[in-house]
Amino acid sequence: MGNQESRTFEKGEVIFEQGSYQRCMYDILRGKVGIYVNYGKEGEKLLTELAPGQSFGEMALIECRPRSATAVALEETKTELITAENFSEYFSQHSDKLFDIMRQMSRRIRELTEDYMEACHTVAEMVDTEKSGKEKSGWLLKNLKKFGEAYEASAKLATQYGADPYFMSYFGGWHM
Amino acid sequence: MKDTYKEIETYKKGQVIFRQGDYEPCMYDIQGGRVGIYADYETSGQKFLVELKEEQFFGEMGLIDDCPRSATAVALENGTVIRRITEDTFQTYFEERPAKVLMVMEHLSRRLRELTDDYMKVCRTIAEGVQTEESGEEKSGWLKEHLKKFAGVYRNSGK
Repeated sequence: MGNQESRTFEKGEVIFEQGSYQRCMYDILRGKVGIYVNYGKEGEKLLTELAPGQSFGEMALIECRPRSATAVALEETKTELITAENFSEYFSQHSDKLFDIMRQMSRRIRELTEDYMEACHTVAEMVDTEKSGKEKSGWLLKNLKKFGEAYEASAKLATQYGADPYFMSYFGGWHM
Repeated sequence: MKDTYKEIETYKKGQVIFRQGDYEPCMYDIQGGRVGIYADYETSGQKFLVELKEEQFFGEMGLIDDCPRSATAVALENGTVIRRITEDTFQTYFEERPAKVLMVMEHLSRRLRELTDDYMKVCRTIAEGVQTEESGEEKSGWLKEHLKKFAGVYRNSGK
């Protein structure tokens, strides 16, 4: 180890910007970080606040993609910078953090699988109800609304703000 | 539990590694051979889900989320070698193999991305279905195809 770099940000300072491209992630040592889509623009949305011990920016690093959100220091914040070069080494030394990230992803996979199956169930009911010519049940009406809105919300975020639905999914902020 | 399992185990073709519904808090790293993942294995509704090979991971949800296996894993050839990673060996495993860190994250990240795409598509199908019905227009080819596909996913899930 020893090649990690720490970096301190002032309150309000932008750590990285949505759409920018850097292969690194951050581990919060002190302070508080806000993750926003569309920061400082119309449709600005705070997705989550992160505290010391939490890390962020790993998805862009794993997937070699531009940043899906903007990270802002909400108070004076000290971070440790983890680059692509020391990423594997860092997590192999901090297996608890690796476990946390895996748990977060795994939980989202499980929740999303449930949502996906419920949405497929809704499609099946939709098809059956149409065929039978019966009235739609309360359950069906509720779900048509719920999943229709989920699509509209994500399509809106994607087209207007360039947000990556996958990233929203990672943060669990789907129905927003 | 950890005493009843060996860390590295060799399987014969057709041998079951774990069964759907089993509780066993560990994940697997394939060291050699091939593994098939099946839903409802050895029932009339048996479905082959995916084939995995050397260097691939599986079963991580059992380790991390501590939930029952959602499918059955079967060795597809003789001499399939599996390494079992438990909560106790997790730290050492990654400490000794930093290169596996990125591999396991990429693996999860790919699954989450694929699932997000599928979920987006089924939500779009619902949104377009509702819109088409309200407008009284004919269903598009895309809509018909996806209504059939996703209704089929539900019907084949056995729920």
